Parts: sequence; structure tokens; C-alpha cells
Amino acid sequence: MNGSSRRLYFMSISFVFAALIILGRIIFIQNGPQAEPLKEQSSTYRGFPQEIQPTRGEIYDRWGNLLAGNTTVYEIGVELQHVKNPETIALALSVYTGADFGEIYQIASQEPAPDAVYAVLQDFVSPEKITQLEEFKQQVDAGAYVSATKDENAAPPSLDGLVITPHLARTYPEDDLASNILGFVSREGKGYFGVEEKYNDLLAGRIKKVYYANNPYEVSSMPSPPVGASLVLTIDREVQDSVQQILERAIETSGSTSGTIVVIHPQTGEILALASTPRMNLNEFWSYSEVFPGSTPFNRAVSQAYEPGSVFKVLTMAAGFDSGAVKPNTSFLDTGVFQIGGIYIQNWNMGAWGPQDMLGCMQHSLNVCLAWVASEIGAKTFYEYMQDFGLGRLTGVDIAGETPGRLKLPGDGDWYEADLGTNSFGQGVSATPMQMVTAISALANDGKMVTPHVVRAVIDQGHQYDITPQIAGMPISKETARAMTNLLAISLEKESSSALVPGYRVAGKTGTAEIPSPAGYTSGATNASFVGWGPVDDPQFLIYIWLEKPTTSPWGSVVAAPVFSEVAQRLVILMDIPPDDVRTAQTSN
Amino acid sequence: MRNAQQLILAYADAPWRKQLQFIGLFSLALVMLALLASLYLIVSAQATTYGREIQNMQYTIKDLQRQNADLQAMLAHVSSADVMEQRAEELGLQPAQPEQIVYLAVEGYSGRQPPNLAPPAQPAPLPAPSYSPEFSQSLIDWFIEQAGVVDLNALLSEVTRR
Repeated sequence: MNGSSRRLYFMSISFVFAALIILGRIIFIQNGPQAEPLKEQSSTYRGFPQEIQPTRGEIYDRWGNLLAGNTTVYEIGVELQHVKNPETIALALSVYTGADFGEIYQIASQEPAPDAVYAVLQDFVSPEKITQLEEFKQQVDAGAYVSATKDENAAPPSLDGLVITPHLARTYPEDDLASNILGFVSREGKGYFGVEEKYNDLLAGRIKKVYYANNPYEVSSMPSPPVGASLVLTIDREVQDSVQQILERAIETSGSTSGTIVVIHPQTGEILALASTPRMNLNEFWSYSEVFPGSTPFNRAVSQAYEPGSVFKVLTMAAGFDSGAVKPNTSFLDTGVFQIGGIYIQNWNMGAWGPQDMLGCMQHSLNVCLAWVASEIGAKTFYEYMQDFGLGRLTGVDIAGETPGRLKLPGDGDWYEADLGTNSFGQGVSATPMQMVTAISALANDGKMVTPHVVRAVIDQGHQYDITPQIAGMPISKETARAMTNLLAISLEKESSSALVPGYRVAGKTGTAEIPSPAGYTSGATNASFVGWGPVDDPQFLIYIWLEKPTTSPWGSVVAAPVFSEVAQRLVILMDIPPDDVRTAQTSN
Repeated sequence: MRNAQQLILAYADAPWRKQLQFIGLFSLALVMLALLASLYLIVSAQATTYGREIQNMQYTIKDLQRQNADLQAMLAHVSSADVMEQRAEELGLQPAQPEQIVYLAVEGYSGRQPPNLAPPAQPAPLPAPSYSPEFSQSLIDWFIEQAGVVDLNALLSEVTRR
């Protein structure tokens, strides 16, 4: 073997030896004690697990106007290992986003732990504030600021480590419009009250757990973010706005403490408008406890049961007609007092109204007559009818927080025969405005009682699913419903009621109920109500008015009836309902 | 014949020829390796570039979805009931009164109908590209498959026949 061959062999052996050392080292690293921690560390470079909160579904009115949507807000955080000057960060946030300097400084000064390198400083920051903050950051990065301290070792001003991440949050473009129906969403993404609570699961969608791969080879497995279902409400924005304005004026002019107006389509149960006080700007949901102090209900129409008073008489008389106990022309001699269950029922003016037929009883709202009608029906039948009308149980309206009210029944420990008399004219029984609307819808819809609802359609996965109207029952016959509607229309016309709507024949009934206190009906305060529907030949709207404790007049006929007329006059325009003569002429042609 | 044997021996005995042969083979292997490495690098770089582009596009989609939501909310705000009412008043408009309205009977008109708010139907997704196995199958996979198909089937049919 000559010299060059030896060198060649030596080189070959060296290369093989080096290759063996590298191979051995690879095997040792992959199987040695440090292998597991290294594998774990490498997995963090490969990607990261994350929970994706779906974009919350939107809410529209019946014509597609956005009532609840989403808008970009920002989360501000710090990557602790990159923070150079926590003081600058705290100062910037306290100036531009109103954060607490001490709190931010404390968080940003933390030493990064192996499992905690990122800390959230603030969330839900508006885009305007972020713009200001970013402008400041550019100035700091450009060296526009120097440290105020004379310490040479002090870190120069720096916002390094500050991370701004955008995400979507709930917004309500109409502020307080329909706020009692919509409810609101907390910062944790949970719906409270109204539709937001009732349909929270549907709107919020399902949280998706995913693994985001950093490896570009694995990008094809990145999931697309899920989206919650959207809702189309039955609410008409223009009607809702008008009704809210009318309610505000009514409360002011009557000196009432609160008020509620419910407008539904009696043939479908669609809630066209629902106004209740107080209302809140849903974009400032944190003011909830100020706007609704104590036990103030968020939506009186579904959450506050009250003694409705004489509007209840329409149900008593309907039960009387339907059961055959009385007929429209049945005569009754009103002596001004009626004894039942050991108590004496008197009329609202303590007077005797002499001979009356059933029209007169309703027209003059005679308690004595209605107590007599209830006694003629009999307790068992009367309460069966009231239960058929849905009193004492939930209507099933799709708004959160509904309360069932109270209908005492024979056999209950606190029911007495006298209750039959008082219940007949709406005292001693409690119901929500929504329950009253549901029950009375039977009179306006040929005996068929509809389930009130506020969601017209659900949009999910690119498809719109329309909600079918539900019939909640048929407590009375078609003939009874039409007879009652006709009787109440004549009643309003004969009274020359302020509830009348020029050009349109409407039916309705006033209600004035004393408000019970622990000492009895002694406060003198009343609940003024009115229920009406029209046009009587083809009812398109049913309106329920409730004004609580009016001070200018205690009577529903004075404070609530004109409100009905005002609402109805706006409705016929907004709903394109021609006057009776136009419709009749059109039909006859 | 003898001359030829002498030539082969002379060639075999020349050390520089052996070296040249060795160097030639080594260089050929090196070039092949370099070619394979280059090919691998090019393919990897392209895959990484496209993967990164897809990631960026996905982030862009998220941004656009956010912008879309923002614009929708902004549009809803500027056309909200209060704002529209204010604008109408500024233009000198007033709410219509019943006596100002004239109703016309239009044959076949059934009134304003609520819109369908579902997004328009998406075009049918493109069929996923299908490649023949030659583009994704390794040589070992191919061997295994071939062996499985031929031998196992033949063996099974033979066994069942007996």
C-alpha cells in the first residue's frame, strides 16, 4: 500500500467514524432522558390548540333591518418575555384606554413563567382608542420620547411586548329600540333577557376546539370558523319605533309610573311591536342595574303579572256566550249590588244602572252584571273557560323571563266563592299583558287562540327556516268570537269612545283595576288598560295598553283608550291597511 | 486474442485508470445526490410557500369577515330609525296622515312581502382534485401493494380451490 492509498483509507475510516458518531448521537437524543421534554417542546412549535368562539348570529326585524350585529373590538395583552419597559405600557394604556396605571404596571412587570408568557391587560377596547394607541406606539418606536429619569440604566420608553388582537363583539345599531325584546349579551358571550337569552344556544353556536398548525404543510387541515344562527323577528322596526314614542308620550301625559304596549297580529300570533318601560341602551348593558333597580322587570309584558281589571270582562262575557249561560239580548236588572260568597259586588260608580242587556253591561262596564254572568256560568265552567284561555300558565312566547300569573281555582286553599265574583271583572286574578293578549286573540281570530311569538325565521347554514304560527287552542266558537267582536265594536261606537279610529271599525274594552296592597285595595292607585283589535271584519292587529298608576286620571277610558286610537292610526298607515270603505269597495269589485 | 488480453491487463494494471474510474463513479453519485437534494429543496420550498400563502389567505378571510360585520353594523347605524327620522325631518318631510293617503287597487299586488334573508346560494364546490396513486405512492408502498394484490390473491384463490 503506497502513501496515497493509505491517505485514502485513513480519510474513509475518518468519515465512517464521524458518521457513526452522528448516528449514535441522533439515536441517543431521540431515546435518552431528554427525549420527552424535547418532543413536548417541539410540539409547541408545530402548532397550538385553540377554542374558537363562533361569531354570534345576527338579529333582524321582519324587513331585514339589523337589530343586533357584531363589530370589531380589541384585546390588548403583553408578551411578557418581550416587555422592555412596563412603565411605558402602563402609561400608554392609562392615557389612551383609561386603564388603571398601577394595575397594568403590575401585570406587565411580571416575570414570564414557562406556562404563562402572555397576559391580558384590557379587552373590548374600541377601534378609535386603538388608533390613538398605535399612533403613540409609532412615535415611541421612532424615538420621539426619552426617559424622564436621570438614571442612565433606566430602560428607554418602549411599547415592545404589547399585542393588540381584534375580535368581534355584540353591537345594537338601534340602541334602545326593542331593547326589552332583544335583551343583551355579556362580555362572556352569554345572552341575558329577551331573545338573546331565549335563543342563546342557537345564536352563540357551538364552541369548536381546533389545533392550529404552524407547519405550512398542514394548513389544509385548518378549520373554518363556525357561525351562530341568525334570527329574523316578527317585529316591524317602524311600528316598534312609533309605539315606543307613543308610549313615552302617554306615560308623560298621564303621569304614569310605567307603561306597556303590545301589538300582535291576531291571526298569526306575530308580535309586531312590544314597548315597555324602562328601556336601556343595549350598547351600555353595564348600566342594567341602574336602569332596572331592585326587582324591576326587564320586560313587563311577559314578566310582570297584574290584576287587569275590566279588560278581563271580555273573557267572562265570551265564556257566558259560549257556554249558553247568557245571550247578547239577555236582560239583567242592575240594582247596584250583587251578593256572592258573602261579599257585595258594586259597580265602579257605586250606582244602579237598572235594566240592561249584555251590550249595556259591557258598554258601561258593570261589575255587578259580570259577577252575575259568572254566577250564571257556574264556578266549574267559568274556571274551565279561563284555563282554556291560558290564564295561570305560560303562553310559550319565545322571550325569556315569562311568568305565569295566578288564577286561583276551586279547590285551592285560598279560593273562596267570592273570588268567582271578583275574578269576573278582573280583580283577584293576575295575568301578564302577554297572557291577556293571547287569551283575547281568540276573540279576534274566530275563536282560535294563537301562541304569541317574536321569531319569524331562523337562518342557519345558509338556509332560512320560517316558523309556522301555532294555534294554542280554541276556547270559544267562531260564532261567539264574532258576536263578542261585534258587541264590543258597537259598545265603543255607542260610547263615542276616544278609542275609535276614523275610517276603521274596531272592537275594544277599557279596564281600570285597583292595585292591591297588603292592607287591601286602599291605595287609590290604579292600573289603566285597554284592549282592542281591528278592522273587525278582518282583524290585522290586536293592541294591548297598560299604564301603571296614572295620576291625571285613574280611568282606562280616559288615559288608555286614546293611546289605543293613536297606535291604531299609526298602524293602519305603517301596515298599509286601507280604510273600511276602500276595502269594502275593493272586495265588492 | 492475445493482444486483447494484453490490453485488458495493461488497462487493469494502470493505477490512474482505477482512480479515474473511482472518481468518476463517486462524482456521478455526488451529482445524483445533489440533484435529488435540489429537487427535494425546490418541492419543499414551493410547498412551504403555498402553505404560507394559504395561511395568509385564511387570516385575510378572517379580517374580511370582521370588516364585513363592521360595515354591516355601520350601515345599520346610519340607517337606524332615529337617524332616518332625523334626516327626514331635515329634508322637511313629515309623517303621513290618514287623510293624505290615497289607496290604489293594483291587480295581483298582495302587499309588501318579508324578504328571505338567507345568503344567496353558493356555487357548487369544485370537485377535489384526484391524483393517480403514482403521484403520491412511494416505491415501497407500490411494492407492498403489488405483492399484496398478486401474491395474496393468487395464494387465497389457490387455497380456496384446494
